[in-house]
Amino acid sequence: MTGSLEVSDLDLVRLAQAGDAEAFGELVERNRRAVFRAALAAVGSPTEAEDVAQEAFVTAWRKLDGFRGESQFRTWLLSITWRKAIDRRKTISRWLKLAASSSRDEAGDDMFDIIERVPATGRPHDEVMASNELQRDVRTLIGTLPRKLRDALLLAGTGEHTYDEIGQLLGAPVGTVKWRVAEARRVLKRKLTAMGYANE
Amino acid sequence: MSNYDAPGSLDGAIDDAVRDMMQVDPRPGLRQRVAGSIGARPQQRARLRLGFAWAASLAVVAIVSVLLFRSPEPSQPAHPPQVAVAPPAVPAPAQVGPQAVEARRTAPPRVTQRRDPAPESIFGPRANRVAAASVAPSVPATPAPADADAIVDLPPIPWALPRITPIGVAPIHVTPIAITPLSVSALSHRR
Repeated sequence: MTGSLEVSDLDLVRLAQAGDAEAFGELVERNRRAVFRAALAAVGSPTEAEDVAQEAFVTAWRKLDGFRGESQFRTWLLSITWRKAIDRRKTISRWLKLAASSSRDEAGDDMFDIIERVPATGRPHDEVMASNELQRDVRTLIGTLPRKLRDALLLAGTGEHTYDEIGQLLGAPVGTVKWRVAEARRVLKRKLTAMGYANE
Repeated sequence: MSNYDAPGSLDGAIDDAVRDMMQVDPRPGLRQRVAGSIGARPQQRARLRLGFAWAASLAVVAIVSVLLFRSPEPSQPAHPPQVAVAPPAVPAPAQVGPQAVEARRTAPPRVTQRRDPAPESIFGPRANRVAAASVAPSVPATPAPADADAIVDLPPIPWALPRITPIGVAPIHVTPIAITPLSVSALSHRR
Protein backbone atom coordinates (compact mmCIF):
# COMPACT_ATOMS: atom_id res chain seq x y z
CA MET A 1 0.00 0.00 0.00
CA THR A 2 1.59 3.22 -1.08
CA GLY A 3 1.13 6.48 0.64
CA SER A 4 0.15 4.66 3.80
CA LEU A 5 1.61 7.35 6.03
CA GLU A 6 -1.26 9.63 5.14
CA VAL A 7 -3.83 7.02 5.96
CA SER A 8 -4.78 6.86 9.60
CA ASP A 9 -4.97 3.66 11.57
CA LEU A 10 -8.72 4.03 11.78
CA ASP A 11 -9.04 4.26 8.02
CA LEU A 12 -6.94 1.17 7.65
CA VAL A 13 -9.10 -0.58 10.22
CA ARG A 14 -12.23 0.30 8.26
CA LEU A 15 -10.67 -1.05 5.10
CA ALA A 16 -9.58 -4.20 6.89
CA GLN A 17 -13.05 -4.63 8.34
CA ALA A 18 -14.34 -4.59 4.81
CA GLY A 19 -12.00 -7.47 4.02
CA ASP A 20 -8.92 -5.63 2.79
CA ALA A 21 -6.09 -7.86 3.95
CA GLU A 22 -3.55 -5.47 2.49
CA ALA A 23 -4.77 -2.71 4.80
CA PHE A 24 -4.45 -5.04 7.73
CA GLY A 25 -0.94 -5.87 6.60
CA GLU A 26 -0.12 -2.21 6.81
CA LEU A 27 -1.47 -2.15 10.34
CA VAL A 28 0.79 -5.08 11.15
CA GLU A 29 3.74 -3.24 9.73
CA ARG A 30 2.99 -0.13 11.73
CA ASN A 31 2.53 -1.89 15.04
CA ARG A 32 4.77 -4.92 14.81
CA ARG A 33 7.53 -3.46 16.94
CA ALA A 34 5.26 -2.28 19.74
CA VAL A 35 3.43 -5.59 19.75
CA PHE A 36 6.61 -7.62 19.70
CA ARG A 37 8.24 -5.67 22.51
CA ALA A 38 5.17 -5.79 24.70
CA ALA A 39 5.15 -9.54 24.29
CA LEU A 40 8.87 -9.65 24.96
CA ALA A 41 8.40 -7.74 28.22
CA ALA A 42 6.00 -10.43 29.39
CA VAL A 43 7.60 -13.64 28.17
CA GLY A 44 11.27 -12.65 28.13
CA SER A 45 12.18 -14.70 25.09
CA PRO A 46 12.33 -13.22 21.58
CA THR A 47 11.23 -16.50 20.05
CA GLU A 48 8.23 -16.76 22.31
CA ALA A 49 7.50 -13.07 21.78
CA GLU A 50 7.38 -13.56 18.02
CA ASP A 51 4.89 -16.36 18.41
CA VAL A 52 2.79 -14.25 20.73
CA ALA A 53 2.93 -11.28 18.36
CA GLN A 54 1.83 -13.41 15.44
CA GLU A 55 -1.02 -14.89 17.48
CA ALA A 56 -2.07 -11.44 18.59
CA PHE A 57 -2.24 -10.12 15.04
CA VAL A 58 -4.22 -13.12 13.86
CA THR A 59 -6.61 -12.74 16.78
CA ALA A 60 -6.98 -9.04 16.04
CA TRP A 61 -7.85 -9.85 12.44
CA ARG A 62 -10.47 -12.33 13.52
CA LYS A 63 -11.97 -9.95 16.08
CA LEU A 64 -11.74 -6.94 13.87
CA ASP A 65 -15.50 -6.80 13.43
CA GLY A 66 -15.79 -6.18 17.16
CA PHE A 67 -13.55 -3.13 17.10
CA ARG A 68 -15.80 -0.07 17.21
CA GLY A 69 -13.17 2.61 17.29
CA GLU A 70 -13.93 3.64 20.86
CA SER A 71 -10.23 3.41 21.64
CA GLN A 72 -7.16 3.58 19.51
CA PHE A 73 -6.49 0.53 17.39
CA ARG A 74 -2.98 0.34 18.79
CA THR A 75 -4.28 0.25 22.38
CA TRP A 76 -6.82 -2.41 21.46
CA LEU A 77 -4.13 -4.44 19.71
CA LEU A 78 -1.71 -4.12 22.61
CA SER A 79 -4.40 -5.31 25.01
CA ILE A 80 -4.85 -8.45 22.94
CA THR A 81 -1.10 -8.91 22.83
CA TRP A 82 -0.67 -8.50 26.55
CA ARG A 83 -3.39 -10.99 27.37
CA LYS A 84 -1.86 -13.55 25.05
CA ALA A 85 1.60 -12.90 26.42
CA ILE A 86 0.40 -13.37 30.00
CA ASP A 87 -1.28 -16.61 29.02
CA ARG A 88 1.92 -17.78 27.41
CA ARG A 89 3.92 -16.76 30.46
CA LYS A 90 1.63 -18.76 32.72
CA THR A 91 2.00 -21.78 30.50
CA ILE A 92 5.77 -21.50 30.53
CA SER A 93 5.83 -20.95 34.28
CA ARG A 94 3.74 -24.05 34.84
CA TRP A 95 6.05 -26.02 32.63
CA LEU A 96 9.11 -24.70 34.43
CA LYS A 97 7.62 -25.51 37.81
CA LEU A 98 6.97 -29.04 36.66
CA ALA A 99 10.50 -29.32 35.37
CA ALA A 100 11.90 -27.81 38.55
CA SER A 101 9.93 -30.19 40.72
CA SER A 102 11.31 -33.16 38.82
CA SER A 103 14.89 -31.97 38.87
CA ARG A 104 15.53 -29.60 41.68
CA ASP A 105 18.36 -27.33 40.77
CA GLU A 106 19.12 -23.67 40.97
CA ALA A 107 16.58 -22.83 38.30
CA GLY A 108 13.93 -20.42 39.46
CA ASP A 109 10.25 -20.42 38.68
CA ASP A 110 10.42 -18.01 35.85
CA MET A 111 11.29 -18.08 32.23
CA PHE A 112 13.59 -15.15 32.82
CA ASP A 113 15.99 -17.65 34.30
CA ILE A 114 16.38 -19.18 30.90
CA ILE A 115 15.93 -16.00 28.97
CA GLU A 116 17.59 -16.03 25.64
CA ARG A 117 20.55 -13.77 25.65
CA VAL A 118 19.97 -10.89 23.35
CA PRO A 119 23.31 -9.83 21.96
CA ALA A 120 24.33 -6.33 22.86
CA THR A 121 24.98 -4.35 19.74
CA GLY A 122 26.41 -1.01 18.84
CA ARG A 123 29.22 -0.84 21.35
CA PRO A 124 32.94 -1.46 21.04
CA HIS A 125 34.11 -4.92 21.89
CA ASP A 126 36.24 -3.96 24.88
CA GLU A 127 33.40 -1.98 26.36
CA VAL A 128 31.12 -4.93 25.95
CA MET A 129 33.64 -7.15 27.63
CA ALA A 130 34.02 -4.72 30.52
CA SER A 131 30.33 -4.48 31.11
CA ASN A 132 29.50 -8.11 30.57
CA GLU A 133 29.63 -9.08 34.19
CA LEU A 134 27.51 -6.20 35.39
CA GLN A 135 25.08 -6.66 32.53
CA ARG A 136 24.70 -10.31 33.33
CA ASP A 137 24.10 -9.57 36.97
CA VAL A 138 21.56 -6.87 36.19
CA ARG A 139 19.68 -9.20 33.89
CA THR A 140 19.72 -11.92 36.46
CA LEU A 141 18.41 -9.54 39.08
CA ILE A 142 15.68 -8.28 36.74
CA GLY A 143 14.54 -11.85 36.46
CA THR A 144 14.19 -12.03 40.23
CA LEU A 145 12.02 -8.93 40.52
CA PRO A 146 8.37 -9.31 41.45
CA ARG A 147 6.33 -9.51 38.31
CA LYS A 148 4.47 -6.27 38.82
CA LEU A 149 7.72 -4.36 39.15
CA ARG A 150 9.42 -6.22 36.36
CA ASP A 151 6.55 -5.76 33.89
CA ALA A 152 6.47 -2.03 34.50
CA LEU A 153 10.24 -1.69 34.25
CA LEU A 154 10.55 -3.68 31.04
CA LEU A 155 7.57 -2.10 29.33
CA ALA A 156 8.93 1.31 30.16
CA GLY A 157 12.28 0.23 28.77
CA THR A 158 10.96 -0.79 25.36
CA GLY A 159 10.94 2.76 24.05
CA GLU A 160 7.65 1.98 22.32
CA HIS A 161 5.04 2.45 25.00
CA THR A 162 3.92 5.51 26.86
CA TYR A 163 3.06 5.42 30.53
CA ASP A 164 -0.59 5.72 29.57
CA GLU A 165 -0.36 2.61 27.41
CA ILE A 166 1.54 0.75 30.09
CA GLY A 167 -1.10 1.71 32.61
CA GLN A 168 -3.83 0.39 30.35
CA LEU A 169 -1.97 -2.84 29.77
CA LEU A 170 -1.28 -3.40 33.44
CA GLY A 171 -4.63 -2.10 34.60
CA ALA A 172 -3.00 0.44 36.86
CA PRO A 173 -2.98 4.23 37.02
CA VAL A 174 -0.06 6.06 35.50
CA GLY A 175 1.17 7.10 38.93
CA THR A 176 1.27 3.50 40.05
CA VAL A 177 3.18 2.52 36.93
CA LYS A 178 5.76 5.21 37.57
CA TRP A 179 6.11 4.14 41.16
CA ARG A 180 6.63 0.53 40.11
CA VAL A 181 9.36 1.52 37.68
CA ALA A 182 11.12 3.56 40.31
CA GLU A 183 10.71 0.83 42.89
CA ALA A 184 12.12 -1.76 40.50
CA ARG A 185 15.19 0.36 39.98
CA ARG A 186 15.57 0.86 43.73
CA VAL A 187 15.40 -2.86 44.35
CA LEU A 188 17.92 -3.57 41.61
CA LYS A 189 20.36 -1.01 42.91
CA ARG A 190 20.06 -2.30 46.45
CA LYS A 191 20.78 -5.84 45.31
CA LEU A 192 23.65 -4.74 43.11
CA THR A 193 25.15 -2.83 46.00
CA ALA A 194 24.81 -5.91 48.16
CA MET A 195 26.67 -7.84 45.48
CA GLY A 196 29.58 -5.42 45.74
CA TYR A 197 28.89 -2.95 42.96
CA ALA A 198 29.49 0.60 44.03
CA ASN A 199 26.90 3.24 43.35
CA GLU A 200 28.69 6.55 43.28
CA MET B 1 28.83 5.50 24.75
CA SER B 2 27.55 3.63 27.69
CA ASN B 3 25.85 5.43 30.51
CA TYR B 4 27.79 3.57 33.13
CA ASP B 5 31.31 4.34 32.05
CA ALA B 6 31.72 5.96 35.38
CA PRO B 7 32.16 3.10 37.78
CA GLY B 8 29.25 2.62 40.10
CA SER B 9 26.72 4.22 37.87
CA LEU B 10 24.18 1.56 38.58
CA ASP B 11 21.35 3.56 37.09
CA GLY B 12 23.16 3.61 33.79
CA ALA B 13 23.86 -0.10 34.03
CA ILE B 14 20.22 -0.81 34.66
CA ASP B 15 19.19 1.40 31.76
CA ASP B 16 21.57 -0.34 29.41
CA ALA B 17 20.55 -3.79 30.55
CA VAL B 18 16.87 -3.05 30.10
CA ARG B 19 17.50 -1.45 26.74
CA ASP B 20 19.52 -4.40 25.54
CA MET B 21 16.81 -6.76 26.69
CA MET B 22 13.86 -4.89 25.31
CA GLN B 23 14.87 -2.83 22.32
CA VAL B 24 14.93 -5.77 20.00
CA ASP B 25 13.10 -5.98 16.73
CA PRO B 26 11.22 -8.99 15.49
CA ARG B 27 12.69 -10.96 12.67
CA PRO B 28 11.72 -9.67 9.26
CA GLY B 29 8.75 -11.35 7.70
CA LEU B 30 6.28 -11.00 10.53
CA ARG B 31 3.82 -9.34 8.18
CA GLN B 32 4.09 -12.21 5.74
CA ARG B 33 3.73 -14.77 8.49
CA VAL B 34 0.63 -13.04 9.78
CA ALA B 35 -0.77 -12.85 6.28
CA GLY B 36 -0.14 -16.54 5.89
CA SER B 37 -1.91 -17.30 9.15
CA ILE B 38 -4.93 -15.22 8.32
CA GLY B 39 -7.64 -17.40 6.94
CA ALA B 40 -10.82 -16.24 5.37
CA ARG B 41 -11.64 -12.58 5.30
CA PRO B 42 -14.42 -11.30 7.50
CA GLN B 43 -16.78 -11.01 4.54
CA GLN B 44 -15.97 -14.54 3.49
CA ARG B 45 -16.51 -15.70 7.04
CA ALA B 46 -19.85 -13.92 7.11
CA ARG B 47 -20.80 -15.68 3.91
CA LEU B 48 -19.72 -18.98 5.39
CA ARG B 49 -21.78 -18.32 8.50
CA LEU B 50 -24.78 -17.44 6.36
CA GLY B 51 -24.40 -20.59 4.31
CA PHE B 52 -24.07 -22.69 7.41
CA ALA B 53 -27.19 -21.15 8.93
CA TRP B 54 -29.07 -21.76 5.68
CA ALA B 55 -28.00 -25.40 5.56
CA ALA B 56 -28.88 -25.88 9.21
CA SER B 57 -32.36 -24.43 8.74
CA LEU B 58 -32.90 -26.66 5.70
CA ALA B 59 -31.90 -29.68 7.72
CA VAL B 60 -34.29 -28.73 10.51
CA VAL B 61 -37.15 -28.30 8.05
CA ALA B 62 -36.39 -31.67 6.47
CA ILE B 63 -36.33 -33.44 9.82
CA VAL B 64 -39.57 -31.83 10.97
CA SER B 65 -41.34 -32.69 7.72
CA VAL B 66 -40.17 -36.29 7.92
CA LEU B 67 -41.42 -36.55 11.49
CA LEU B 68 -44.78 -34.99 10.64
CA PHE B 69 -45.61 -36.94 7.51
CA ARG B 70 -44.24 -40.26 8.56
CA SER B 71 -47.04 -42.86 8.69
CA PRO B 72 -47.53 -44.30 12.11
CA GLU B 73 -46.48 -47.91 12.24
CA PRO B 74 -48.10 -49.92 14.98
CA SER B 75 -45.41 -51.73 16.74
CA GLN B 76 -46.81 -55.11 17.59
CA PRO B 77 -45.01 -57.18 20.08
CA ALA B 78 -43.34 -60.27 18.71
CA HIS B 79 -45.28 -62.55 21.01
CA PRO B 80 -48.71 -62.18 22.52
CA PRO B 81 -48.71 -61.11 26.10
CA GLN B 82 -48.42 -63.92 28.54
CA VAL B 83 -49.53 -63.97 32.07
CA ALA B 84 -46.82 -64.93 34.38
CA VAL B 85 -47.55 -68.27 35.93
CA ALA B 86 -45.88 -69.05 39.15
CA PRO B 87 -44.30 -72.51 39.23
CA PRO B 88 -45.98 -74.89 41.63
CA ALA B 89 -44.57 -74.83 45.03
CA VAL B 90 -42.58 -77.88 45.92
CA PRO B 91 -43.35 -78.99 49.41
CA ALA B 92 -40.47 -79.26 51.74
CA PRO B 93 -39.31 -82.81 52.41
CA ALA B 94 -41.50 -84.31 55.03
CA GLN B 95 -39.38 -87.31 55.84
CA VAL B 96 -36.95 -86.52 58.51
CA GLY B 97 -36.27 -89.94 59.89
CA PRO B 98 -33.35 -92.22 59.17
CA GLN B 99 -35.07 -93.70 56.11
CA ALA B 100 -35.18 -90.37 54.51
CA VAL B 101 -31.57 -89.82 55.30
CA GLU B 102 -30.72 -93.16 53.77
CA ALA B 103 -32.77 -92.35 50.71
CA ARG B 104 -30.90 -89.12 50.33
CA ARG B 105 -27.62 -90.92 50.60
CA THR B 106 -28.42 -93.48 47.95
CA ALA B 107 -30.27 -91.32 45.52
CA PRO B 108 -28.19 -89.18 43.27
CA PRO B 109 -28.49 -85.50 43.91
CA ARG B 110 -31.46 -84.15 42.13
CA VAL B 111 -30.55 -81.45 39.79
CA THR B 112 -33.45 -79.30 38.99
CA GLN B 113 -33.04 -76.75 36.36
CA ARG B 114 -35.05 -73.82 37.38
CA ARG B 115 -36.50 -71.94 34.54
CA ASP B 116 -37.62 -68.49 35.31
CA PRO B 117 -40.61 -67.20 33.47
CA ALA B 118 -39.92 -64.91 30.62
CA PRO B 119 -39.97 -61.30 31.72
CA GLU B 120 -43.27 -59.74 31.02
CA SER B 121 -44.24 -56.19 31.09
CA ILE B 122 -46.33 -55.42 34.13
CA PHE B 123 -48.13 -52.77 32.13
CA GLY B 124 -49.58 -55.27 29.70
CA PRO B 125 -49.17 -55.33 25.96
CA ARG B 126 -48.03 -52.24 24.22
CA ALA B 127 -50.97 -50.95 22.28
CA ASN B 128 -49.17 -48.52 20.09
CA ARG B 129 -46.34 -46.10 19.91
CA VAL B 130 -45.56 -44.60 23.26
CA ALA B 131 -46.59 -41.03 23.54
CA ALA B 132 -47.86 -38.95 26.36
CA ALA B 133 -50.80 -37.69 24.32
CA SER B 134 -51.84 -41.15 23.20
CA VAL B 135 -52.84 -42.45 26.62
CA ALA B 136 -56.61 -42.82 26.53
CA PRO B 137 -58.50 -42.70 29.78
CA SER B 138 -60.55 -45.74 28.77
CA VAL B 139 -57.62 -48.10 28.66
CA PRO B 140 -58.42 -50.84 31.13
CA ALA B 141 -55.92 -51.57 33.74
CA THR B 142 -54.09 -54.83 33.57
CA PRO B 143 -55.90 -57.30 35.77
CA ALA B 144 -54.03 -58.79 38.60
CA PRO B 145 -53.52 -62.54 38.65
CA ALA B 146 -56.64 -64.38 39.63
CA ASP B 147 -55.01 -66.29 42.41
CA ALA B 148 -53.32 -63.33 43.90
CA ASP B 149 -55.61 -63.42 46.88
CA ALA B 150 -54.91 -67.06 47.39
CA ILE B 151 -51.21 -66.50 47.50
CA VAL B 152 -51.08 -63.93 50.18
CA ASP B 153 -54.03 -62.98 52.21
CA LEU B 154 -53.04 -60.52 54.79
CA PRO B 155 -54.94 -60.63 58.01
CA PRO B 156 -57.14 -57.68 58.58
CA ILE B 157 -55.52 -54.90 60.45
CA PRO B 158 -57.67 -52.93 62.81
CA TRP B 159 -56.30 -49.65 61.54
CA ALA B 160 -57.82 -49.20 58.17
CA LEU B 161 -54.61 -49.52 56.28
CA PRO B 162 -54.86 -50.17 52.58
CA ARG B 163 -54.58 -53.78 51.66
CA ILE B 164 -51.60 -54.51 49.57
CA THR B 165 -51.99 -57.21 47.01
CA PRO B 166 -48.74 -58.30 45.49
CA ILE B 167 -48.74 -58.78 41.78
CA GLY B 168 -48.00 -62.38 40.92
CA VAL B 169 -45.45 -63.08 43.55
CA ALA B 170 -43.93 -66.42 42.84
CA PRO B 171 -43.19 -68.45 45.92
CA ILE B 172 -39.56 -69.01 46.54
CA HIS B 173 -38.58 -72.56 45.89
CA VAL B 174 -35.62 -73.64 47.89
CA THR B 175 -34.20 -76.89 46.74
CA PRO B 176 -32.55 -78.70 49.60
CA ILE B 177 -28.98 -79.46 48.99
CA ALA B 178 -28.27 -83.14 49.08
CA ILE B 179 -24.96 -83.73 50.71
CA THR B 180 -23.34 -86.89 49.56
CA PRO B 181 -21.11 -88.32 52.25
CA LEU B 182 -17.54 -88.52 51.22
CA SER B 183 -16.26 -92.06 51.40
CA VAL B 184 -12.58 -92.40 51.79
CA SER B 185 -11.07 -95.80 51.37
CA ALA B 186 -8.18 -96.72 53.51
CA LEU B 187 -4.83 -96.50 51.88
CA SER B 188 -2.92 -99.69 51.54
CA HIS B 189 0.78 -99.64 51.94
CA ARG B 190 2.59 -100.88 48.90
CA ARG B 191 6.01 -102.18 48.91
